[in-house]
Amino acid sequence: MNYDCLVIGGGLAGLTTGIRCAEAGLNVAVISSGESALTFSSGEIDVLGTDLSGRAVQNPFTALESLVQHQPDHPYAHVGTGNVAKSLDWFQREIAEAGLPMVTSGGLWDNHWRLTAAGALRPSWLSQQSAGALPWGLENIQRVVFVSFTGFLDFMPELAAAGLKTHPVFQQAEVQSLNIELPLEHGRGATADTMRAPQLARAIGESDVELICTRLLEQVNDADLVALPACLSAGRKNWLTVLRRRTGLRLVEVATMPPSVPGIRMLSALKRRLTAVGGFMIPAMPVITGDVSYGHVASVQTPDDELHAKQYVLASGSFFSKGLKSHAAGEISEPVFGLDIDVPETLSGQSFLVPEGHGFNRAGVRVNVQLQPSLNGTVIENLHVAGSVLAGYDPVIEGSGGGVAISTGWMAANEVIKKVALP
Amino acid sequence: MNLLVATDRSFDSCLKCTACSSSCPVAAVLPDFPGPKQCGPDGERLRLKSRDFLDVALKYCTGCKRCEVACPSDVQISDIIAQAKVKYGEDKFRLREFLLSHTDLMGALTRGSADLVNKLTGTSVVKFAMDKTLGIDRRRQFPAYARQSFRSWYKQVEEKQHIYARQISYFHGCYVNFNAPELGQDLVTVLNAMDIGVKLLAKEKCCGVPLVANGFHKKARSHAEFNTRACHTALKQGSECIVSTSSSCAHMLREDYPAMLGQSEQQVHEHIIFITRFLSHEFQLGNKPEMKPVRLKVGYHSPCHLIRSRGVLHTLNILREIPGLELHQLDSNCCGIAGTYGFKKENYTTSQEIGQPLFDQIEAGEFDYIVTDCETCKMQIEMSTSLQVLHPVTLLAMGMSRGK
Ligand SMILES: Cc1cc2nc3c(=O)[nH]c(=O)nc-3n(C[C@H](O)[C@H](O)[C@H](O)COP(=O)(O)OP(=O)(O)OC[C@H]3O[C@@H](n4cnc5c(N)ncnc54)[C@H](O)[C@@H]3O)c2cc1C
Ligand code: SF4
Ligand code: SF4
Repeated sequence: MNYDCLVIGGGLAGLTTGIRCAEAGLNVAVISSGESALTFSSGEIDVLGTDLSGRAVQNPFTALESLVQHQPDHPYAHVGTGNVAKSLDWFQREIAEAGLPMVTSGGLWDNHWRLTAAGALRPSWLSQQSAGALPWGLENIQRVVFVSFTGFLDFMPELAAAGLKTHPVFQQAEVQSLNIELPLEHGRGATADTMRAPQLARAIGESDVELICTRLLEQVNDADLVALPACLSAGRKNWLTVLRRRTGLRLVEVATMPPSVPGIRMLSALKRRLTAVGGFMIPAMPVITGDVSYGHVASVQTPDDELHAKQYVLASGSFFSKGLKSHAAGEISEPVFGLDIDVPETLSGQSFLVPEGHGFNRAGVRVNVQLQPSLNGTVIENLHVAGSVLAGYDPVIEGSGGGVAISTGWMAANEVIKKVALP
Repeated sequence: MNLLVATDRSFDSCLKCTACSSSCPVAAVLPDFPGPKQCGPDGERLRLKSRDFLDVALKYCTGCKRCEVACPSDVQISDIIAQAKVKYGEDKFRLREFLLSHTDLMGALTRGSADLVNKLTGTSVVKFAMDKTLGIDRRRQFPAYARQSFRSWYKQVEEKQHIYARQISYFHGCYVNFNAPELGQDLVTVLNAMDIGVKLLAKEKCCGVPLVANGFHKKARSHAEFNTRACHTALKQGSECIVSTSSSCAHMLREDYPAMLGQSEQQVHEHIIFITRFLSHEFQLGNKPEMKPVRLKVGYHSPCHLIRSRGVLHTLNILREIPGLELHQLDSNCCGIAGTYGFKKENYTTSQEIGQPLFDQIEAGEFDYIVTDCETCKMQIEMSTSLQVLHPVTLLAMGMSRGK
């Protein structure tokens, strides 16, 4: 009943570790207590969006070189720039195998832009096809239309349009919003205002798509870019491809307020991949504590069982996922093992938007270059740590959340595979 | 399920994160179901002000508890919805609800006439009549009733059970007794092979899951009291614990009875264990029956309530111990039947749409069998796919009898 590897946490990092271990033939289970950050995310993978001087990053791998030189404790520094690129290539192949192809920009090493529901542009590395990776040079995009469906509350085209207008490139551009009232063929009489994106997706039928098509051709057929809430590609049919074909317009989907269709789509693809390559997923199971002595995890405890494995990976996420806990006295802890924590001095500094980032986000588990943590100063040899529970980076300011989760999850798996292979 | 205790205030800790709504299988297919966040914590706040806010859509909730699994804040969403249905809903007595929920009574009535009943419920005339007069969807297949109940079969092996040093009691439930006595027989085989004798409770009543789901709360409570007493006696008479092969019965007895009856009998309820959890612990302690290779490719489907009661790990643990078995875990997806929910005419389409991704995956997988812990999941999968569904205990028993 023993496992080669137990992964604690089923988010992007934990699933990455699980998939890679299972593919290497290891007996692996991913144990997870709740939803992961992916459910709320845009479903795109950012590697590095902002450099140290606060500028948007066009070539993330060049910018990484300089980032890791300045921040030797950054998780990317532990993984190494070359390995970050390797892990992302691997990830792109895996997720395509699971039926969710993702694309990079046309330029070999360039980021592309992804559009947010607030009308902001973020540099991103891997995008789902529905988001239609916008190329780095934006000059050709001079007429943008944000479209939504009357009553739908989780995507506000007016807000998005106003947001985009504040972007330097779009100050002279024509940015509009358009609301289309849909009959909602499969809506069973309910209206869009009570629906979340996944429901709206199911309520749309041929007649709705016909109407959207007509309105787009009549009203915005000269637009360079048309952005819609991410739900068309998740319907009974991929309506987005249908619309792209019928209108000939550049249509992109934007992740709405959560629940986010593309985020959930990525999560299910990864879970599917894990079990397809022979891994196991243990849902709804919190790991309460771990038994560590002399730098070795002997077992971990769930509410009912003591579980044993040769190797363990902690990928329990940040504060919201309860991988980290903050206490009244301003202290921060890692609740499962009580691992040593790095807390930046500027913790949640005076101002919320300090240029060097919100100290809170940089707090987390301190690890060595093999991603091993320590407990009271003693390194734990059969435990590795991956994803947003790690210290030393700020996913929000840097735009690096997805890239760090994947590359550290991939590297933790490599370490585990090496060790399990040893006699 | 705190159905009979004071108002649950866990809705106060809702963070409005919508994790629950993203994981609700009903919301995923029904555009007019507002989803757990709105029906649960949001709605409860309003309903406390006035019952006018009661949303008829609450009835679409299957009680699968996937929302609770997703919630980072431990809001008892599904319980809140179930309570609201009871507290504010009309308490209509309907024949259909009565028939669907009184599984023990129905089983007892068919005794001696199983063949006839099976033929009847299989005919299109009866199906048509049930559809029209009762609102039980005619496309449903009914579980077949066995000719000999498990209890009456058990009499043949009762004597032999005393030779084993250890004794446990088995709560077989309505399904094993009336519809699937072979599963009970498999359990006796497996436990005997592990040197454990199997006793039955002096008498048992339906655990109450279908009663609660159909609004017969008083009746459910009296069953809970009865079964708790029977378990108590069994423990006093030397049984180590009471096991159940049904993930729903076990969940009811262990998790929901304490809330229904108050905590006083908690010690009894703690000794009621779902079978794979019991076996997983025994295996881990080294008490593992010898098994011959079972060279089959199987897909494992995890029932919603087993996920909620943290049992998936145990079932996977014992399946992984079967030599030769090629085990694939299916995507965690509700099968759609949700006990008696899918039998009702108004829910048939919803039920099948919820299960569709699971059925597709099963058909595509080239499996020999599907394995699952829950009898209603089994009915749903067998009706909706071309595969036969086995209980994990049956697979273990297959490992023991092969080549004998
Ligand atoms: C709203 C939002 C939007 C984002 N958008 C983007 C984006 O567009 N692009 C991008 O690249 N990044 C984005 N990110 C960042 C990125 O999604 C995250 O950094 C990354 O997904 C973190 O993955 P993780 O696996 O480390 O943690 P998580 O996804 O948080 O997963 C941790 C898992 O561990 C489980 N867990 C915790 N403790 C235990 C325990 N004791 N026992 C068992 N299980 C446990 C949790 O329940 C959870 O499922 C976004 C993040 C958020 C919150
Ligand atoms: S119990 Fe299931 S059907 Fe009901 S609201 Fe929760 S997730 Fe939805
Ligand atoms: S998952 Fe829990 S906290 Fe989040 S909205 Fe639902 S009930 Fe509220």
